[in-house]
Amino acid sequence: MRLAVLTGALNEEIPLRGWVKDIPEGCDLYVVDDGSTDGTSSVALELGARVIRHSMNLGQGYAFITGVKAIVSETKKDYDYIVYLDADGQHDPKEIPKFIRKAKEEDLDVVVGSRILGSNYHNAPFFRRKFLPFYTAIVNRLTGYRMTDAMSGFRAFRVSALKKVLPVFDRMLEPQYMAAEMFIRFSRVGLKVGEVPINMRDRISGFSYKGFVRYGFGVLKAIGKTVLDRA
Amino acid sequence: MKITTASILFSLVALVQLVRIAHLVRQERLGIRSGLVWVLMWAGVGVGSLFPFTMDFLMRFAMMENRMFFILIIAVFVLFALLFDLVSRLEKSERNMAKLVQEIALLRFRLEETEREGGKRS
Repeated sequence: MRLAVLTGALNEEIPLRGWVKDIPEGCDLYVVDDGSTDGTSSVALELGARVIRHSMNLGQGYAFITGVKAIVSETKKDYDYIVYLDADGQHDPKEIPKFIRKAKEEDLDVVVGSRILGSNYHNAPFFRRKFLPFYTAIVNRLTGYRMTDAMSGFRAFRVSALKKVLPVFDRMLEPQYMAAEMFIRFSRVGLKVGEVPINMRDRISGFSYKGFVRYGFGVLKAIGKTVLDRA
Repeated sequence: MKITTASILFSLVALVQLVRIAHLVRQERLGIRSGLVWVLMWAGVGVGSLFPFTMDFLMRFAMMENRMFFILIIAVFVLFALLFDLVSRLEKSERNMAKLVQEIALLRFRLEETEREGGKRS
């Protein structure tokens, strides 16, 4: 089984050094450098990753889409799964095998790492604890999925399913806030989605570029637009 | 029809703007669609200032009684329409730019992959 680990990084040279060593053996690492001004690209190359560079910052959603396209269309390797995680070190790569186990056992196309099911969720910031279930409830209502954390960035995708939905990524209306939109579109083509619990770690260094209010409105806007766009 | 200094001034400004819009469209610095919107707006200002009774007719049609209030409402409406147009254009150009950045990134990655494959073979 071939596994690609994908991450989108913006000025994450220090965190990358911290978690890349924990990636399970045999996995290939792809880093989308999303317009970094530090040495993210060179550190990633030094750590054995393949690097795709955005010449300017586009956001995590765009980084994910570019990475998926690069892995699926531009490499000659036939991967079975792609696992996407955040580059800031909050996601533990040691948890990757349980995503794959879950996907195989239940024949799932997408496996989401649920922070709510994780044992350290009570430590999450106040706004996240209050609004995550709210957004997830909206997504569940619109998709028919039964998720507990639709906004999690730690996800595994079956490549054969991704190949089928590759055109969906070109139709994304709000890639910066893609989580909700992605699941709504996935549900329309009948992809099967499941969850595994994950534990969030403290970020190794740096800060989050997502403003809570802006992100919240962005997600609602993305949901609204996707509902209206029936394509 | 009562011509006042203000109505002459407004109609002159409207005329100058109409000529300017025509010039910009001819130079292709302004699209046909936007040009049409601005022409309609300034023509409205010109006609409204020279022939105020047209405004009264529209005002009665909109079931309003105060001319100033009517003008204000129209102005706000036009401004919102322009703002909406501007925001949607901005979003579209942002999306196009993002697509371009992605395409360049993928192209560069493809080249690196080809070089890597070539290096392995030789």
